[in-house]
Amino acid sequence: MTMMITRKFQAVALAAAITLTVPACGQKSGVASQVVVGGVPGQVAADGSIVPGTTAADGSAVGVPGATGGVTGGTPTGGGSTTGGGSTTGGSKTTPSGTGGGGEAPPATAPRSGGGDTTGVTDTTIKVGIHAPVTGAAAIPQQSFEKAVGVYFDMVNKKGGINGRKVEVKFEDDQFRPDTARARCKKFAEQDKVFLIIGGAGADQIDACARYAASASVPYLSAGVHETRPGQAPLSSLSTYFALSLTYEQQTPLLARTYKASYNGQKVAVITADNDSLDNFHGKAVGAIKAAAGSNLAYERRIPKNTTSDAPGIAGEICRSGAKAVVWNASPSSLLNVAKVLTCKVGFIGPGLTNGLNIVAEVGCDNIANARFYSPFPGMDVMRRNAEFVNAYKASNGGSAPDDLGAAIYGVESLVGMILAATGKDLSRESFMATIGKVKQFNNGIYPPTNFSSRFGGTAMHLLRADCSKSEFVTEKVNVRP
Amino acid sequence: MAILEIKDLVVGYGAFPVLHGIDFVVEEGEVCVLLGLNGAGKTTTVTTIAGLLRPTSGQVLFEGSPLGRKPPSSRVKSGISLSPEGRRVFPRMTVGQNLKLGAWSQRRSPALVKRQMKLVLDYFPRLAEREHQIAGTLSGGEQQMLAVARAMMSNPKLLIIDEASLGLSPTLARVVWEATARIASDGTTVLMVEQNAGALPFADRALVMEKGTLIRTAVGEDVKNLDVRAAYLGA
Amino acid sequence: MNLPLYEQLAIALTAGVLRGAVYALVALGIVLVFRGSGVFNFAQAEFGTTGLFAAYWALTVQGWSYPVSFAFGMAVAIALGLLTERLVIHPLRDSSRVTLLVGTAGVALAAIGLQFWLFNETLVMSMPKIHDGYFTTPWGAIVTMQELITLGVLAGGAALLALFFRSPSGLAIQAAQQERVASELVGISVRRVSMLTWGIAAALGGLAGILAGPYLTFSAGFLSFGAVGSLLPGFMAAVLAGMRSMPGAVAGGLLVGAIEQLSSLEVFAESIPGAGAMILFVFLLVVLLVRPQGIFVGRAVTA
Repeated sequence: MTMMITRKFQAVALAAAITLTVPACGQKSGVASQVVVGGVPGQVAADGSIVPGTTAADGSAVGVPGATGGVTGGTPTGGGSTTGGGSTTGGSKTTPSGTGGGGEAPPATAPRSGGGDTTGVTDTTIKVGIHAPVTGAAAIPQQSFEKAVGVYFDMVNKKGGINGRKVEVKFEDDQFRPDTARARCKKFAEQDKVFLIIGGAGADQIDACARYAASASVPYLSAGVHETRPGQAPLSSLSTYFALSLTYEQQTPLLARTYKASYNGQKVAVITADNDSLDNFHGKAVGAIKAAAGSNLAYERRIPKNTTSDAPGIAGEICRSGAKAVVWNASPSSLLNVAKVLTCKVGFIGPGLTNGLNIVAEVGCDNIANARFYSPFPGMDVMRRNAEFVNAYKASNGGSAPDDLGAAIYGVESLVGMILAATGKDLSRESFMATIGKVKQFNNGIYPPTNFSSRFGGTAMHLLRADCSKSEFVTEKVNVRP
Repeated sequence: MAILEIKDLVVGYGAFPVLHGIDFVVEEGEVCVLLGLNGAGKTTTVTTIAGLLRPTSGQVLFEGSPLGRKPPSSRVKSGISLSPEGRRVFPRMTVGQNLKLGAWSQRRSPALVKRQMKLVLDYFPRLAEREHQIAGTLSGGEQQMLAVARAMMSNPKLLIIDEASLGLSPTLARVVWEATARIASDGTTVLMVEQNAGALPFADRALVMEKGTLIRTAVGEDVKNLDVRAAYLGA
Repeated sequence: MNLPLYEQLAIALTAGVLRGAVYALVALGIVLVFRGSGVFNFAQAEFGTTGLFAAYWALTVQGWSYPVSFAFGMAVAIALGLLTERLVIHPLRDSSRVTLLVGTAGVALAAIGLQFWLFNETLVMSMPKIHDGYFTTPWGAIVTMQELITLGVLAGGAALLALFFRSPSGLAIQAAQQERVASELVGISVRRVSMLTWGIAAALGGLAGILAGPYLTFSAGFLSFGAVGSLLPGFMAAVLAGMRSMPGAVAGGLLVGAIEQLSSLEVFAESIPGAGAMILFVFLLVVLLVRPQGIFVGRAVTA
């Protein structure tokens, strides 16, 4: 049984790869279809079709150019008319995709056989696993994730579910530890038998779980993190992995651009946590900053994953280097500690962290005033005006107001929900992943629009700025493309 | 008048009684020697009087009133001072500091402390020479003198000295006893615990203990006639 | 950007001595309690964190003034010390040292648990400094006023302690430490002395916690294992002081801080992560092999 599924899946994946890499063949109807909903998450109608959000809570801030009217037929079934996916004739070779930013192309189509791996799916339910650090991560309030997870799916379920199926959410605490994350995901796959897994936060945990998920053929989706980890296959080679936003590496041009825009001609430092998964990012960030700043790159250093007692030393070196800007990719708690002991004024610039940032603003102001971080979801100034989100969050949490982790998880969940809806009634892991590759563009109005020409589906980031008068990160610019 | 009265005193460690109900009195102004072999219950008797041990039953009356469950600190304040077995000087302090601490219960009357200091240094001139020496470095005899002197610092009405002669040469033991006799003649009642019958000549009253009971009492002239050997043998 | 080695060394030593001031405060408390009760007090640092949490609560939640909040934090720290004496040390006074050690470790864990429980909603806390100023030394080390204040408090506290131990009450504390029975016999309430000892030790812990808290952000267990983890360095300093000498504890704390900071030298920082702890342990090992009695062991008594 398992054997059969695996076999079949390989055949499908191969077929899909072929389809995608041969433009003429792959760009059938599905590619052109774009699921875009202006401003707010797409409403999932009872019949499973995606209809535009009714009123934009703040369309101007988050709206994608052209999004307002840009709802094209979100063919929910993934285009029933498409071919059954490229032929599975042997002998054809896949050629490298020219479209992806280094990522291997995801499957574009799947057989419409009605078969496929339907683990976790019944006629009335879809089981989804989500892992996030409830405990173990400094700087993340413990209940934030507990409150955040399932908010979107709760709301959808109340409206009849996705294509008639209710989403059943399994949530596990990965304790901010990769080995725990792996074990939890194994549980998702083997005991809970979930349909797909969502990585809530934490790059190393997402990495660990994504690798396991690929081995178990479970679709795995998360916000973009790193692309590679030394000694291991790149995330883009995992057959079931999808990044819903730009990876750290893909964001390095954004960081360099932000430096140039605000600190041009001034000294700059690059500080990265010493997780080996950030090796590639650090190299690219240093490269990009060097290209932008030249000899003004005054200091670069890897710091411990959790910087506490080293903080004064690091802060001292930043100040001595004369840097006015610091490109930062390390945990929020490390940022707080270093910022707290800084004796000079610097502006932090960073890529989108999966952990919420507002705690940094709450605790770290004024030391981190005007820090600019990219984010896959907009700041709470925007999200609080998203009535659907706020109401859903309150409904699930006894009326308490949402925080930014709520927004983060809601963003991921709603994006996954859109893909599920787009896949249609005939839901299998194959058809789900095929839909990602075929539809490519999903826009839930929270995350920047996706474009899955590779497994890294991000196209842009929102730029947030620490506003110390409000003690939170506010949205400075949405959908900034590299 | 009896300054100290012991009534049917039973003291035990856990379930095992060490004193099986003893009675005796010590008259004001006299020197009383409590004799007995090791393990006879002498030290148990005096530590109970000082308040370090609680009696199982029986009473200790001081100046006519029962001491009950009073802690050592209030007993020393009311005038009972014990120079304990093994001397127990404060080893890392100077002789002077040891003496000052001896007057802890009287620390609110500096004049009295001053007077007592002068007095005890007069009793034990050797301590005066060593006032700034660390107590732990004194010889055994000097430490014994210090222990007695420290006990005198609180200006007690009843001075109890547990085994002053233990480990001392006969000459040194004599020095301590003679000083004790001077203390008594200056008006302080003294209760001495001894294994050494050499203390008897200084005593007005002698009590002999064995296995937790009092087996013989001698007062005045009788003390000199006390057959210690017979007493020790339980004859 | 690469500073010459001697300059790096000067910077590291400056930072180390400043950090060491916190360790010294903790070490003083450890030595004091050890002399008084013969206990390795694993709760020493948590007296500090608890005091810090109390001060934080007073300042940021209640909005009390800084001095009042500081005093409140100190009061809570001291109360915890007294409570420890009353509920753990006194009832277990006749138990083995290991039992007592486990008892104090239990107090530390309970305190950490309490901090977690009461401040669950704000996992990362931050407190303003007494003074926000800082200056740069001629050799390039950055010194914040807060660190300088801590160093000053250490100096002042050590001097006060030295004076106190020459006073009659201080003498009584030492007497009780040296000869319990004789102390009872001269009328010193050993019980009260024990309370006094734990109270002072907890106050030293409180000072360490409330002064070091504003250095960085803090969370439960801050002064034991957190951002300014001082429990192990404090113990090392106390061991260097032979567990007895108060001036030794001060010198030991500063030395441990300085040695730990050697890890920030470029030679180590780049190649060995966590070099600080390693250097420190190697140093302590060597000291214990060469001079098991410690290196800052002065004469027998402070007074």
